[in-house]
Amino acid sequence: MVEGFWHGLHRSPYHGFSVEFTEYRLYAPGDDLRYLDWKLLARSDRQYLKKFEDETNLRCHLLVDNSRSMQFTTLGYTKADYARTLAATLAYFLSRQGDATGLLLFDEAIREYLPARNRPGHLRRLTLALERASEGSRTDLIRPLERIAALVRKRSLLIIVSDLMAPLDGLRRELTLLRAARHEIVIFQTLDPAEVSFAFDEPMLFQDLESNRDLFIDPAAVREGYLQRLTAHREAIQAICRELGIDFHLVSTEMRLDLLLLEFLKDRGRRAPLSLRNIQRVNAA
Amino acid sequence: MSFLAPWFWLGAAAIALPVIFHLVRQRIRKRQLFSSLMFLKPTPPKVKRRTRLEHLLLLALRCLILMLLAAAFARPFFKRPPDAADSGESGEIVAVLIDTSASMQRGALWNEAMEIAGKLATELRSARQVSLLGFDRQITTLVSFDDWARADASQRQSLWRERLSTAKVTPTGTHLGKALVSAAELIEDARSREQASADTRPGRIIVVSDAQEGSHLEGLAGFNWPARLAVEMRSPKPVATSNAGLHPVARDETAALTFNTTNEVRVFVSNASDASKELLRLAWRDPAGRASADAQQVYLPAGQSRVVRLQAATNAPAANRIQLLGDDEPFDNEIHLVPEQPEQLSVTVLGADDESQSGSLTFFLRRVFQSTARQQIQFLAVTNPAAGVPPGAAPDFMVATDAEGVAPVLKQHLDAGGTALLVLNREGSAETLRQIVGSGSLTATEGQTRQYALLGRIEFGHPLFAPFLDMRFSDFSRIHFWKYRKIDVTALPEMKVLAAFDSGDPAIIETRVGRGTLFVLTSSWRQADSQLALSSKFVPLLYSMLELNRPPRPSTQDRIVGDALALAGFARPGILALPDGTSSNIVESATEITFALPGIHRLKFADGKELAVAVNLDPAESRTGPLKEEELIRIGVPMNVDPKNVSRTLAARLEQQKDSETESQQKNWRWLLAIAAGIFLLESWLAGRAGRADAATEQS
Repeated sequence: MVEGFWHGLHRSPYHGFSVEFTEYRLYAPGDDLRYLDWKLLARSDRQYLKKFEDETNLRCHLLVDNSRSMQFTTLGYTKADYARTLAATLAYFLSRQGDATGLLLFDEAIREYLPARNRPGHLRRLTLALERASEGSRTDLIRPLERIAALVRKRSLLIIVSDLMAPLDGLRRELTLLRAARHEIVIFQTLDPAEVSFAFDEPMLFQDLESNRDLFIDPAAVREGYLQRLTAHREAIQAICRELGIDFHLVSTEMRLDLLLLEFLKDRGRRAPLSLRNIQRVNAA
Repeated sequence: MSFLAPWFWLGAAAIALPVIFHLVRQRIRKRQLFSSLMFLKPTPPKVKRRTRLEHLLLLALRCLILMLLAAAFARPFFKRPPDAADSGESGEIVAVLIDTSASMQRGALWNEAMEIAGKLATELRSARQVSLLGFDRQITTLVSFDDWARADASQRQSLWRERLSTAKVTPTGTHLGKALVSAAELIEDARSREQASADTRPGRIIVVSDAQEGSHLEGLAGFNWPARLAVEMRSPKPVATSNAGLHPVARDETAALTFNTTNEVRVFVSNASDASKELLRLAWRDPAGRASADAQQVYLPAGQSRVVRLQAATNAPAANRIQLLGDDEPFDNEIHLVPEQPEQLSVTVLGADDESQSGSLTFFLRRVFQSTARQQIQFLAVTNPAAGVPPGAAPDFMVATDAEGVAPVLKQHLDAGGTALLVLNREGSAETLRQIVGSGSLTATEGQTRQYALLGRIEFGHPLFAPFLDMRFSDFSRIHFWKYRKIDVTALPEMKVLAAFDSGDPAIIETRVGRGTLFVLTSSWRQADSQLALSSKFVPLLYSMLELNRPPRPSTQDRIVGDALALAGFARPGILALPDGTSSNIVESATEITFALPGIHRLKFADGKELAVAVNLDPAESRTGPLKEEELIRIGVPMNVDPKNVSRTLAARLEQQKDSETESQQKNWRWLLAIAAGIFLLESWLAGRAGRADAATEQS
């Protein structure tokens, strides 16, 4: 899937980070002399700054929700399967670019954390971690954000993949703190088509996947209220994202993943230049 | 099987509920897992009727539990065959109560009662234990169970008649309640002594009484009657006479005063509910028994009573009795009255300030110690004690201020055993106190207050504060003290701080000087010092001090036959002159005397003091209308009456009383509840198992 995009790399917002384009640049007064390429200066009498070959341009952390609500499905695969595939795809894509990719699996607690690396075998460890079965129950959005803020001091790209089926108290504060630390954030809200439309017919006992609570529900009677509340919840999240400059994507699990990635990368392409330049400058320093 | 509360069977209708629930229970077989219910609200399930019952065993168990509960609440019991007690078998224990109260004087009641009681000896000859008790206000044992047991069968009748003849009618009230309780307890004692018998022996109380309305039934309402005990009433033939009664009205202080001043007395006249005569007359009688000519007429319908104001006889000034004329029964037609003599008290203020000043110490004291009908207080204010105190008897209470020349006079009073209150009204001074206790080291300074001081700690256990012990009266926090004197109390002998300010400095101190008691108030009630005089605590506090040394004299009015007069505070020995002309000695160790006769009792004590006490008949004794057996049954007395002779409702009530007794002995409901609890456990287990089976089916 990723290979298809590889040719379009020039248009990719990340191409500017590759070694070839940023390895040398002209010295300007004020630059750190540690990075000056003395050999080149001896050879050509020109002052160029040199980048280390193993240094990556971008740190990306994938925050993947592994709570029980992600096990819901009306299709052949669960929301968790979809989210993990999306995360693995992004990780593969980024590692191929030479970017460092980290992973944080969470439910009501942090279940797995792999720091951002770009080493041989790291991608394999990352995919193995993603394959691990869900252990937790409910979703807590705040704790992983607090944890990532504590762990990741350098500015990076944080990609959150979750159904966001949790109360939003404190979410704004955590996202604001992350943004204040100049992290760039992307949120994929992954929902099953049945969750979006609530297309159930007959009255039955609904069991909450997270709390195991039972409720007798007549879908016809509650559909309208459910959709209103769901929309209000999503709009609240979108409002926060808009305010903080966070990239929000609502993803239905029936959507093809390649199309989603294409959409996402196109979107990044349109929006990235400014932020890319910022990140580039930081890395150069 | 019978039921004590059969209407509880209506509760069995509740078995319809489990049947309905089993019919309508909706089985929600379909279950949908959903990511989160946070956006969903529950919908009440629609109930669908079904025609097929499920879980029949569970249903049966649930119905059975409800049936058992209903049955337990209905209090089932098994009727017993008629008791042996009713047939007068030899195993029973019998107590015979014979009424010796004043109302038995009416007509031939007493003779008839003696006849009935006499015949009982024959009737009860085969009873196991028999006792004969006389009762009025007291209970007198005439024949005890032991006497009966010791006597041969041949001697019992003569013993019975001999002891019965010693019973006499007394001028006291009928305390039937007390007598029944005592007799029941005696029978219980006799039962507990009989260790050999496994079963409780039947007991019977036979009451030979005129059973009048005015019988005191107190103590019966809450009494827990022993099992297998029956009460039987054997009343002499009712007297068809008309009776009215006369009694003095309980007087308050003003009434006593009017008796002395306006020669008017209020009496309570009542006419029995079965009286036929309604026109009555009231007349005064002098000690010799002569009636005054001007009798006052009173019209009083049967069963009613009223208070009559009676003018004192003008032509017989010595009259001390009022007689009621116009009814048939003379036993309760006379009351005795003595004019209440006020008690003489004297209070002296040493170092009195200007009484005409409205905020002064003496101004308030004068208003506290005022004469009433009961107390004649001689109030003496001495401005300059150094110039000499007017001669006279030692005052009962002395209030002294911290003024010149007070100390010698106050000390003399205290040494003689008197009580006094010393008010430290001079700023920074306790000179008088220093002189009295003779301690040179006693110093006084002005107490430091932040705006005002309050009483912080009060010894409510001390008799001085006894009137304030009740929570309603114990709030002293509204009395503000602007100024007080701080004294070094350690120099005082046998000192006790009775009240202290919130700063911890003493406010009221009690100390012994000579044989007397001195209270020291370290502030005063002048307006410049405190608000004490304006407080409701001021008057009771001063009277409390006064009465510590001199307790108030007991009232000589409103006493009935059988009452006792406490002799504390009187100088014994003495002589008691009885109304019948005889007299008896009051020994030195006597603590009280009991009045056994109506009339005026005159007491003369060693110190020459005399006291006249008017004793009258119990007012309840005049209510000679018949006491209904229903009344006794209503308050739980296990009456043994023949159902044929009583009304249908009474018979039903008696039957119910018996059933209740049988049921409380058997207590079958406990078994039913235990079985219901067992079935409930079984039902819970079965229901749990069925629920799990259903769940397994659904999952599969």
